[in-house]
Amino acid sequence: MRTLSPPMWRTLLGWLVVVASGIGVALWWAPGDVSAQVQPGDQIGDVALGSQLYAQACAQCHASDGSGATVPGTDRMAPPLSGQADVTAAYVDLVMRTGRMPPAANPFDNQPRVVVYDEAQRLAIVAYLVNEFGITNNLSEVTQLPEGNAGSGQNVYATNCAACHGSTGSGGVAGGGAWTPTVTNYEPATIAEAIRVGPFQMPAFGTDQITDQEVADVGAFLEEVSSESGTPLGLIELNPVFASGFVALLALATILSLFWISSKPTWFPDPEADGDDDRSVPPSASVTPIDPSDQS
Amino acid sequence: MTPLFAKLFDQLDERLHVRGDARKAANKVFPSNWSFLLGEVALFSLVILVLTGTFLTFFYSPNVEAVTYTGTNPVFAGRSLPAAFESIVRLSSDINGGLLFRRLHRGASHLFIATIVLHMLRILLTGAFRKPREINYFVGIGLLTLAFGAGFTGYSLPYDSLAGTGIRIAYTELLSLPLIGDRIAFWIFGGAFPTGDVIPRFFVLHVMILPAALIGTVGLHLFIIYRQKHTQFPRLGVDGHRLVLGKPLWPLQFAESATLFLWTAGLLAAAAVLIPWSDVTLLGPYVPGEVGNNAQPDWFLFWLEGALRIFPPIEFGVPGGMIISGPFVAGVVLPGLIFAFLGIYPFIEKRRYKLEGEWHVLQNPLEIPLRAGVMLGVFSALLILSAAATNDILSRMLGIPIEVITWIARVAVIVVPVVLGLGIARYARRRLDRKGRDVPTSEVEEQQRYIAA
Repeated sequence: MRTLSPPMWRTLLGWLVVVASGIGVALWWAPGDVSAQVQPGDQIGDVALGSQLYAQACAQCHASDGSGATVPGTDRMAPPLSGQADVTAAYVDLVMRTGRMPPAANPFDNQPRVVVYDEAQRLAIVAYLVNEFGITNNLSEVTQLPEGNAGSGQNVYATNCAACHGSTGSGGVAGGGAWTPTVTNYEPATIAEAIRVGPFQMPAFGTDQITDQEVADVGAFLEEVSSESGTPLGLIELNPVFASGFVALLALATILSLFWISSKPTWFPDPEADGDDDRSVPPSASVTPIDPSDQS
Repeated sequence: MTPLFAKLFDQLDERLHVRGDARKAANKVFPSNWSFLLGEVALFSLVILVLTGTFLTFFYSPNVEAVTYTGTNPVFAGRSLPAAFESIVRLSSDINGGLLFRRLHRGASHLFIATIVLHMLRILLTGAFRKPREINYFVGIGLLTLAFGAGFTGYSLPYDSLAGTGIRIAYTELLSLPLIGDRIAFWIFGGAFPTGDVIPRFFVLHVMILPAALIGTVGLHLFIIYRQKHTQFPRLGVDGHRLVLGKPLWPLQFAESATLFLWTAGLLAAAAVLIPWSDVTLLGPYVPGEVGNNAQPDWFLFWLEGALRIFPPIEFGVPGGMIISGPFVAGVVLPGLIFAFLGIYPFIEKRRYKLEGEWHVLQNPLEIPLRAGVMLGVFSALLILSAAATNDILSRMLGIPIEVITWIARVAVIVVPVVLGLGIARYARRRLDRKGRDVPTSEVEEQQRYIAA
């Protein structure tokens, strides 16, 4: 075994000091954070970071006081965020964690969404909005769920969600150039926010329509859908439309097999053509008259 | 023949006197072309369907009474499900090989219908339906219809949410029949939808009546071919009107067909492993009254679904108390017209070109302008209707509102077939003119060109 040279040894010690002091600082800060809370948003995230991010990415369209404004370069209005009863912490959180915001794009088009913020940044913005604009903090109320049951969730999903989002959560059409999104590959908390908040054109479902337990069940069902293992090609259940594509491939494979098994394909030789156009020389052919009485 | 086989054959011949017939059968000539094997693949798919279907029948329970699933599938454990769906979950999750057999069966059904359709296209394009083969052509249309019936009932039996939606549409189509619709629907479904009777009845159709009819009709189809001899592609220097050239049944064609059977089975097995044809866990059981956003039938009924989707929502009364509705026109009248067209087309062509005598040699469709135009027109219309059945998926993928796609399909289904049909017919006519020929009225006349060459 090779011994460590002194410089390497010192480097490792240096890292150990850095990591240890990092842990120490974290332990020292954590209790201080709890004791410093004064406003409701502080429980959610880092308000200072949120303030910074809001100024960078949101204020341009939603205005720095959250009153909404015209999206630069378009005639679309960015909705106001302050003083709106339906703009809640869960709504804002949902819009960012599903990649609807930012950037300000048409939330109803069929484009894939890009999630810009990680969880800390997202929660920081939510915290800032709660403190600054006084939007309702319903995050924990909406996302703290009991243990979900995928089986019951399928029933709830079939009766409440499938008509718009498709039987397997693949999304679909909502008419008039709007599309319902794919709802697999989300955490149950995201699903819960969407159900309670009713973003954009989706209706909000209250606890009298879908209970918290049922929300948890739907989340569990959609998680189950997302975690289906699939075939070696990575395919899970096929919509008949996609299945038809594979039928076409199967038919093509069959035709190519037929070419191969029955040797070269023959078509229609052209008697008018000059030269030897006939590729259909019968090698070991037997000949039979079509009419059995034809003995010539 | 190996000595053992020869000995067995001798013993059989001493008792049943089969040597003469067997020699005749062994010398039966099979013209060779890849497209002549499409029907064989359909036949082999049918064999695989019967074998895998028998296995599935052991485990399927044909009723919709609620039962509690007690197997290992985590989504369904402990849930109360319709018995039909429960048995499908059990087959897929708990019975060894069950899911493989289900996928094989479903994959084979796709290949069965796909090769029937391709086979029919070859018959229609090359003119194999002409005298003396009209009877077998009708038998073939019957086979296609039976295959559609078996396909639809098979799609319905799992009673998942798509299957239930399909049954619902079939029920609505029956209701849309003027005057007698409600009685017919009641007669077939045993009450108002959803009834407990439809799954047991579809089951009997799917595992007894339709397979028996299919096997019997296939037998008739093959018997007629055996009697009449197969059509063949033209060959230079050969009088195809009088002689059939090809491989003898034994041993050459037998070897080829046996290879093809094994190949088809292997292809289907590979597809069953790779492609989840028939997984229904996520679709869940059918909940009457609920329809998922994207609900399509299997591909071979896309044209019908597309017609239903793009036909305007009209409804008008006719004196006498009849009501003609959109679903009736798109879902009953249109398919009726298409099948009627298939039935009468051979006679239209015969009349138009005053065709005489028997026809045994296949023709390039470009030699007959009417056939080229009509076939391209009809099949492009069917393809556009099929595309219209996927209007929701297309809309999502392309980012075009579904209403726009629907209108594009409405216009295209009328304009495109007419333009393409007239275009190709005109091209075919010019091609004949350029060669200084006309459509031959008898095969003897047509074959002179090939004999002379």
